[in-house]
Amino acid sequence: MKEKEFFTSRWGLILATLGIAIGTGNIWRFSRVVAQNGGGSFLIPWVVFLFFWSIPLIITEFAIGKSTRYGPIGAISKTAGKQYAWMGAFIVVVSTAIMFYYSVVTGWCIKYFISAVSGDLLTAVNPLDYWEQFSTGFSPMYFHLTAILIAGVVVYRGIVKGIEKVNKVLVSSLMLILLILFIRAVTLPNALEGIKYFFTPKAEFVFNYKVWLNALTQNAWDTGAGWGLILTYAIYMRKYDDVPLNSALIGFGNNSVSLLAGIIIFSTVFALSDIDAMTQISQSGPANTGLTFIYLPLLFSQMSQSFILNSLFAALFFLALSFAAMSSLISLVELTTRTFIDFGLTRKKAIIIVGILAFIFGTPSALNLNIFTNQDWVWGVGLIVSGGFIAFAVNKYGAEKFRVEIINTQSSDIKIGKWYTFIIKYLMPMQVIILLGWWLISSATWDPEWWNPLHAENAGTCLVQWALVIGVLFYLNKFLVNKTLQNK
Amino acid sequence: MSVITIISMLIIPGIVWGGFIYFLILSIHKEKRKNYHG
Repeated sequence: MKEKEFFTSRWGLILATLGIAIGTGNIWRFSRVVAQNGGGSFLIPWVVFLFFWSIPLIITEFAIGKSTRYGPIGAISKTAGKQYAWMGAFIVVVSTAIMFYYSVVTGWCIKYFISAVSGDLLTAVNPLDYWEQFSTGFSPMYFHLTAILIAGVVVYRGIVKGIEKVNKVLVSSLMLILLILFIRAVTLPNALEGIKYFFTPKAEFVFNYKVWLNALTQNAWDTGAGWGLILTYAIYMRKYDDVPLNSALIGFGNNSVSLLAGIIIFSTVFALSDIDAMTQISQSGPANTGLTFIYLPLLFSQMSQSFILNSLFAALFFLALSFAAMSSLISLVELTTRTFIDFGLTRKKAIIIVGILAFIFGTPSALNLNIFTNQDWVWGVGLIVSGGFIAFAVNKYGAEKFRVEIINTQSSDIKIGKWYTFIIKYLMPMQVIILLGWWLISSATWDPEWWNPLHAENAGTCLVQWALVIGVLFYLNKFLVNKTLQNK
Repeated sequence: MSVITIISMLIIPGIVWGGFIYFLILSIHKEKRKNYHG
């Protein structure tokens, strides 16, 4: 069943798509990765890969979604050929699996926002104990349910009344909150030291290949490019909506928020930390939660002499994090829902199925951080494969033909040059192979039993889970094509 | 503060925030023209 709903304005589309791109990765992961990779040294390759990875993939997703008007399965079938529908389905599975545990993360953010408002968070004697007490109980499951219910209701209300309307509020409020926090953070005593560290490049890091690979990974994970999400929202673009200019705006907008969040966190940590700031900021902690859920609450409690003011800033920070997480979760729920709509279901039936699946399959991650870590690793790395499949589809169609016929249409506000063809044809496949190889081979350095699929983070668990999924989808290819394209 | 820090503080936000503001203004301008021409 095809829906006839479209975004009502350019700004509605841009804010909704920014909602996809801006997630917890901008606020939470970005600062940690910057700290682990030599501060300002990391920012140089990070900006470079905005041009070589994020923007070309965002352009591609917008163009495929708008031209085919299908979710990933139909879109890849139409672009690359029906025999490649399984690739589209793999993109759906990866983003759906991420949705299952991302709902848990959104729940954590909501819980910490409530705790900050009630004052519990800043009165906790030990933030690590507070986190462990919360994360090892049943509470994360209830917050996971809350998050999925909120996202489900938004998606159920459709594009205009749900996704567009809610993202306008979430993304605008998020920007405003970040600006307030930015002003507070840079005016803290000693904040300049953090800003200096954040921007100063060091030669030994700039020329380190690992820093470049981490920068590429950050672009792959935090812009939402290559996930199939932008492709899904592009289905609802009006015929005369532009692709290239909107794509550039999303790419730069996403990285602008990361930069803003980085300055906030580095200023705060350097201003308030009485121990080694860099050790704290780069610590991963359980399930990479160290900085956000353990260390930052401690810093907020020391921000000023006023408990109310400290609680206010902590609440604003976790509200921003909750908004960022929720806007991304909505897009993840919409992608899976759209796949069921393409199969012929109504939006109402589709969202009920997606909601139930999300609660059931997200619960293990909510109750067990090892399962959470495993899923985060397997499907996080899987996103690089998804990006590769999208680039493959365009190459199969003909990258130059795609640029001329699908991207540079009459509705384009700016025209994309041949650089796009070069990046999609040569650089993108190279980046995918290098990144995948590096991550999978690197896992052998932290796990000698790299082949063991029962371990949380190694090559074995990735390859086994991917192979199982790809095997099933490959077998179901014909069914997926018929089910999706017959409902035209 | 070293010269390299100052240069980096100008160039990185210059590209990222500057790019965002540039494309935002361009979008506003293009949208106005589209609305004007119907």
